[in-house]
Amino acid sequence: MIKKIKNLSAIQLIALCMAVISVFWILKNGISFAMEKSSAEIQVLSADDFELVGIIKNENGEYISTDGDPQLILTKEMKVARISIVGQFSVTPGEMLVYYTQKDGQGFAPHKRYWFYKEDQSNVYTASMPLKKLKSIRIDPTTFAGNTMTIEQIIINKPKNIIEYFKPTVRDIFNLIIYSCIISSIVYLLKDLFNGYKTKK
Amino acid sequence: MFLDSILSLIAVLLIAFCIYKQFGLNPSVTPFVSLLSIVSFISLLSLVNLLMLSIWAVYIIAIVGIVFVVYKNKQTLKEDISEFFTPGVIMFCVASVMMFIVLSIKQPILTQWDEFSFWGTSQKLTKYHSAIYTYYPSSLIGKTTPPSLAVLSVFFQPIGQGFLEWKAFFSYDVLFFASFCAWTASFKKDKWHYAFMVFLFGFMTPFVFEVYTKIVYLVPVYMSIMADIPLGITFAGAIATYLFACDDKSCNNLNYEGRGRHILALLPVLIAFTLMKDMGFAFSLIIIMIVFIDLVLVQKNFSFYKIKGLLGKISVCMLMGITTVATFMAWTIHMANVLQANRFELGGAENLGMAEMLVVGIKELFSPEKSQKFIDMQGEMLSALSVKPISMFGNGIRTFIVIFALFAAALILVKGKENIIKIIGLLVTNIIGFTAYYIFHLFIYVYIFKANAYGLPSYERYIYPYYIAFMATGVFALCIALMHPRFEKLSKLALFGFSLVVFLLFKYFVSYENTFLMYTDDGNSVMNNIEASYKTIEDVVEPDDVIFCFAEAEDSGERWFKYTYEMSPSVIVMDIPWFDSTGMDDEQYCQEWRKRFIQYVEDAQITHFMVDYGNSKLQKAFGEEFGCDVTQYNLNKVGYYEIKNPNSEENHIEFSLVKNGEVEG
Repeated sequence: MIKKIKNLSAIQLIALCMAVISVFWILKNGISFAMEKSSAEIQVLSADDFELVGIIKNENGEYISTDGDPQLILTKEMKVARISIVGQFSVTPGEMLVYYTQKDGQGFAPHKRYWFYKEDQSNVYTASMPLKKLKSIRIDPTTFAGNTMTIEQIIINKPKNIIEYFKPTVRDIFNLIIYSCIISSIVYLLKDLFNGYKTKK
Repeated sequence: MFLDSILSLIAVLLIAFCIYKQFGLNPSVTPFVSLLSIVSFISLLSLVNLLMLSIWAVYIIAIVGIVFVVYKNKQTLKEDISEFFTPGVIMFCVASVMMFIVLSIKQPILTQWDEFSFWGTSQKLTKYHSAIYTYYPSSLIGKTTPPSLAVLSVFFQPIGQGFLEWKAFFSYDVLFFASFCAWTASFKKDKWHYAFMVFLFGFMTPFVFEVYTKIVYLVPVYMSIMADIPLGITFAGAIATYLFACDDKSCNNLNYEGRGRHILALLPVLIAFTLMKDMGFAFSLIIIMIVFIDLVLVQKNFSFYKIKGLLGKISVCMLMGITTVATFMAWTIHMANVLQANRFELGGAENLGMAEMLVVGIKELFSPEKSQKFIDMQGEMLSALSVKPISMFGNGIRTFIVIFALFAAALILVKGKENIIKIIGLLVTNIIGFTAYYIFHLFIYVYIFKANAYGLPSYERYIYPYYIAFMATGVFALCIALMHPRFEKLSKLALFGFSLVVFLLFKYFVSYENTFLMYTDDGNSVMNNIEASYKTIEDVVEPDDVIFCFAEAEDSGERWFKYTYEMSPSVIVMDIPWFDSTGMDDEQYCQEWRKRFIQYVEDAQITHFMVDYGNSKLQKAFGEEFGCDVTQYNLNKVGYYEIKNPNSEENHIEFSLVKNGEVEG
């Protein structure tokens, strides 16, 4: 088989790498799906289950941010793949982030965070991550003070349509192309380095 | 028209193919030379107000040219096309098309201050008026930057109304990919994997020099229209063009006669480069120096057309010099005629002209008695090399260690005395060039910047263009070593290894969420808010309105510049001329501001007033005239008023509401 790979042209080799990487990608996402199905427990929470910082609740049950750094903090051990906020904002929320910790005594830090992205439905914002066991989370729902938020639900591990697991993102395609080309280049480099022993020059 | 950018890309490729066949240049340098020939051509004609005409002329030249070249080379067409699509050219095409797809899906917007204060606004105006920004009144505070990049931007969206920011990003990215393609020019089909590694290194360079720590927020790499990255990458592309443009087989032998004519490929590059930014002129002169020294040191049996030897070398460099200076003068004359502005006045702390600044600076540099500011800035510039990070490798010194290691590796790995001299020549000329460039920036901090020179603002983006070119030249030295290897396997490993190291650094420092790959609008809250605010009153704003924009929120500077961009071609005014308010209490200050405001309305012929963010000052000064609480205007609401009957003598003015705009949450 090594001989067959050696004789592949550049384009064929790159195509082969892309096929192999795609297969691994499908397997990886399939495993994600299976793991989430089995151990990612769905939890439907409300904002009141969280510790509120920089947020006050008014008579109408709405939450208002009092400064530019409002936070909802929950300390609970859980396996999380997705956090979804179902709600509306009086002003565009700006940046919505969730910070997380995985060990006791750890603080929230900028390299352990995920962004919320608005889903196609108009009032669901979701942050996705590879399934992990978390000790606590801190949601920063908006970067604007005076933002009146109606938070209906906060759902952990909202179920995802199986097709969603297999939708490629721009990042997936970028990785596919770059890694296929890098691997093929390395194969050709090895061919170059070891050919010297056999052929001319 | 959505695909006009692709039409322009095709035009670039067609002209590249013509250049390849007609002039016998290495096909991998032709996209770069073609694109910059197009940009030079249009830029020069834009100086006599023939912008759109020249763009259509380019399309016509592309079609006529390709028909002519195909007809002339009927017999060999199939081989020619196969030869033309080198690994570099293929990667250029694939990268450009993929970038077009990604940008058209994600449609990122401008995010950087100077994109609103100059670059974006000037390009939007150029598109709107079909003429460069020197020809009509606008909100631009400075109009003395030459127009290559505006031309590049508009060339990739010539059809239809409106100005699309993502297409502007695309135009710059095409320039980058064309340059990277030229960097790979020493590798043909059978060495495609080395070409890929060089292109990959190229692709990483904007990240390498703009990201210094593990990033946690969006980096606008490949979605930016600032000039600094283009300067660095074009400089590197010019050097690559000089080193690799020679396509004939005998060009691998450094004694090739008639080499001279291939150097002419640099002429359009130098013209476009000089017109990119004032600093482009300095870079062009450095390029000519690098080429001249290399010719003198290395080229034997040289002839430039019929002129042989040293005289030929001097001739070709003089031709490049004259072209560069003539281009610089063309812009100066244009500014004098159209703007009545003197290019040589740089303004700034000491109000020096450019030539004067050089003379004064050099005198002070060598004199034993220096002013305190000069000594301080000298100290800061020197310590910046070890204190300020300038790349993913670290500070200036560490980055230089990497660059010198590349050259050292090339020197060890290459075979042949001439090649060793060539590489040493490249290293030494670039050290001289960098030193001159660095000292020039010292002068800028001393004489142009006022008290804010301390801390060296914008140091990184002024200096990293040269670092980009210097590191790329180190990689070119490795490519030369690969062409004439003393240790073949080690050379190959060296090139591969370096590229992979850079890629691994990229993976470590950059997470995809923060790049154009995963861009979403959600992170641009302030920009989106302003854009949304503007859209609510868009329908009542006329192009001829001269608008006073009252936007005194916390980030007032940014808000105002973004409005300038969104609302152009209308002219936007931010504030009345500064006045000394020491000793005034709040009430007196508001009344004084009111008086001076009415005067300014008359002087500047301001027709409208827009309240983006109202505050108590506005309420105290004009509460009665507005007839409402102006502090209601905030993130969610803007007010657009017409100004009537301003009378400074009677301290009278009227505001008539045109429209209130409310942004939905």
